[in-house]
Amino acid sequence: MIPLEWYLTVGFLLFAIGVIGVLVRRSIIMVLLSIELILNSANITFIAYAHALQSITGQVIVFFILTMAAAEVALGLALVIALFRARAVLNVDEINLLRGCALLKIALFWGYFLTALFPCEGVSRSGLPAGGF
Amino acid sequence: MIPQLLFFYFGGVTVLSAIVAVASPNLIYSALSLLITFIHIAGLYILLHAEFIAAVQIIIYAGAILVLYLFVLMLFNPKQESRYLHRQVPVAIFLGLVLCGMMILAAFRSEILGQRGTPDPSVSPVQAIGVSLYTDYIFPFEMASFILLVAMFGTILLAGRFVQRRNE
Repeated sequence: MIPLEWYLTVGFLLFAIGVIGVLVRRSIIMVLLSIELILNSANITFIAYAHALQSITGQVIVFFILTMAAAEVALGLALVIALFRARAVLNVDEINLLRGCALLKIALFWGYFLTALFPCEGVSRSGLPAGGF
Repeated sequence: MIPQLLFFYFGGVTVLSAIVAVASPNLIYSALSLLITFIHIAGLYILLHAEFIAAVQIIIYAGAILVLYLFVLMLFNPKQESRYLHRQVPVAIFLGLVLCGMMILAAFRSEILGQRGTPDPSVSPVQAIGVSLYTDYIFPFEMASFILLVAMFGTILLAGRFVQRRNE
């Protein structure tokens, strides 16, 4: 009989490795891959407690986590592909589109969005100032 | 004795190949050692009597997610950089070890307050999961299918290449 704490220790070690991977690696694909490690550590913890408590609920929740992980990987890799097409970077340090006056850029983005939806007189189509910023 | 040996094999290989996956400079090697990690985690699930989850783990993680990663890696073929690690390595390792130590301490010091389930011996575990999914968890089940649908639409919108029509 293997005690519950050993399984939890394996799960927590995987979690720590995943956190270190997210913080350490510079490639955005490796950051996504480390998030997979973190999700797997959560799964191990759920299954260990489900076995210790003789309950089926933990396995059902792991099923949902697997679904969410599949969706997350598909969307994350699609974002990476879109980013690589737009700017040809994979390094997390160089992805700084929203850096600087981030609030101003977000406000300008919503201005663009709203003027595109509801065009009216006197408002420029782009919503951006002529000279850029 | 045999389950302990199997646990140490599966757990040890899981942790070691996870370390290799995080530390390897080659992205293909990282993905392949993550495959080893996933398969040995499935072995841990079998030790915990969760055979259905083990099968699903191998099918989804090792079969679908890893293939997706390998496709993207081979699509980009990113060049191997000499400086693939961030400069915050010591801080990250310190933070990770402190986090892990605190969680392990909490796991060994605490006691379980949760209520024990009452498994029905006449029903197999896979059947119990199916019944539970379609009765108690029917709304989360439908939401999961909706999340998958939205993820599919979003992936097609983000990564698809749309050719603009010339004459409209």
